[in-house]
Amino acid sequence: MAPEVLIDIEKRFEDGRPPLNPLLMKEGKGVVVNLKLPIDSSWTVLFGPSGVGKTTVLRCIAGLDIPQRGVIKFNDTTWLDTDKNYSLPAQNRRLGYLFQEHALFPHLTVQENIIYNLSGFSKTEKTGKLKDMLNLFKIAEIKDRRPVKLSGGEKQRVALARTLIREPRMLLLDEPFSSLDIPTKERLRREIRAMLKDFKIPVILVTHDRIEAITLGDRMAVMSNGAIQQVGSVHEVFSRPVNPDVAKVVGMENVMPGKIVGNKDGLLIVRVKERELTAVDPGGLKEDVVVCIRAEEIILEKGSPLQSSARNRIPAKVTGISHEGVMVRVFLDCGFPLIALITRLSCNELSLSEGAEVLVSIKAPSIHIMS
Amino acid sequence: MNWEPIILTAKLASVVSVILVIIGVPIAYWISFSKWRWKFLIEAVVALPLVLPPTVLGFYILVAISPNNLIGRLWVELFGATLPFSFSGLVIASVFYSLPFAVQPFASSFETVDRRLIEAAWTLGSSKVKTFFTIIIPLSVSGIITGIVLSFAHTLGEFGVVLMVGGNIPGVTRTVSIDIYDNVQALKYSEAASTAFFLLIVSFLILSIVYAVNRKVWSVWPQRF
Repeated sequence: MAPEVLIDIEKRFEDGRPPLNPLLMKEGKGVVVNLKLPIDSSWTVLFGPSGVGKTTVLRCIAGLDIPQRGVIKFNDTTWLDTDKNYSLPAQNRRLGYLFQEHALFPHLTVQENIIYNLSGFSKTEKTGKLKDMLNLFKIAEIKDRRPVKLSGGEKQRVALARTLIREPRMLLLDEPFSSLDIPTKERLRREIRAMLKDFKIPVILVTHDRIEAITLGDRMAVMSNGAIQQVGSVHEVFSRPVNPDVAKVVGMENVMPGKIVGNKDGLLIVRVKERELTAVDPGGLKEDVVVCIRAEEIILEKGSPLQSSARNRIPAKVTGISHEGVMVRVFLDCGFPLIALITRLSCNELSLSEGAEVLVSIKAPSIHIMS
Repeated sequence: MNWEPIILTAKLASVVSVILVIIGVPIAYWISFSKWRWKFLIEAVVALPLVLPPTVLGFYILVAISPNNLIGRLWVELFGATLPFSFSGLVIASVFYSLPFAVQPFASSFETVDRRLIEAAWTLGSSKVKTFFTIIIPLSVSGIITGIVLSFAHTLGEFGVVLMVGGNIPGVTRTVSIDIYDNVQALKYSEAASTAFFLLIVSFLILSIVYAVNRKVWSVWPQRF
């Protein structure tokens, strides 16, 4: 059997200390999670809206919270078995946990933070490891500063270095980018996988940010209503949500791979299957990209095409229609599958039905390109 | 000025402060981090000397340490001396009397330490004891100094409990406040005045230290924006 992490837990909130996030109280009773993850160097994104209990799941894995019922096994080692009344203390689970606000010790310098409680190494080994970390995370110049004097991005790197220097068996990231400003967030998001690739450990990332999920995740576990609704590859979860809950949570129906083929006037030409789409260039992209279009941003037109400001106008065929209250979800084939969300009124006026020919119209800024 | 009671009082306050650090820190830790539902009862017991008249507290301690009762008898067997009207008895009484002045600042400073820092230390493999000494204590230094200084100052000025438990034996249990009272009773106002003034200055200096240490937390000045 390939090594894997087994997480099967149930944590209720009605008794004891109220949860840290008061939203949880409103949402419901707790979290129920059943998850199996391989122990390799893949990234699993625990995705869901704020207050759904994602952090609670992470805290249970780390041993900071103890669920009322459950089993957690890391390969052959049992970390938690409530039936046997057993819980391995957080100290002995040997995993890395990156807190939302980084939780650097304010009374210690960067260097002291990183080597805090680092045992089992000789003095020279310790110095060597510290030096490696300072170089890898490019924080050598700030090693004698206190956390107060660090920028958000620097704190993030120090926290990562502090966790990774003790070679954890798994890394848990709790909304690691949420406290950063947007440019730093984007830069770190691009760099973090590269910085972590030599450690070859599984990573669980908690986030409610779609872009983080798409760009960082290999696999996605979508949480909603206190439970995991779907586990699958990021592409699979976004393109084929198993239920309306997941569709609502992921919110972006159209996610597909594409290739950048050109660039003019600050606009990108991206090829998806045999079609070419025009999108606004977010900068810093490689050739292979992921194209995302929100269903509600797609306009359907019929009849003779008039002039329009929308950069993308593609003939398509309706392959299916599903009614959802006042809205209608229209499944289209325009060389690649596409889903549009329009009002029932528009659907009636256009007299759409399966097999109808329409013109899909998408403004360039509505096409989100990610690497 | 008669220095004997001053030296005795300083010795008493120092011993009491040291004992209060040793027993007060674990009590404060327990109060800050225990999830026991009846914890408030222990908190109330610790705070009791704040509201109880010193004579009442002194009375119960006197009864408890008398050789007719368990604690007093045990002490006689162990050390061959009785506790009432002795320096040791005074120390025990003062420890109880000043307990809230040590425990409350300790506990409130432990509580203000960010839980995430403690949990971060745990996930880094640091044991609870090591986390306490390397994270919680260094981040609670001002509260700990406040507790030590306040319990020292409070012991310096105690009167009722000392009178009940220690009596007025020169060089053994005759503390500054009792010396002042004695002088006034004997109409020796000038001696009382010099000792009283000395105690006033010392108390003022001690409180100045407390407020200086805690300026960031309890700023006594109006905030300037």
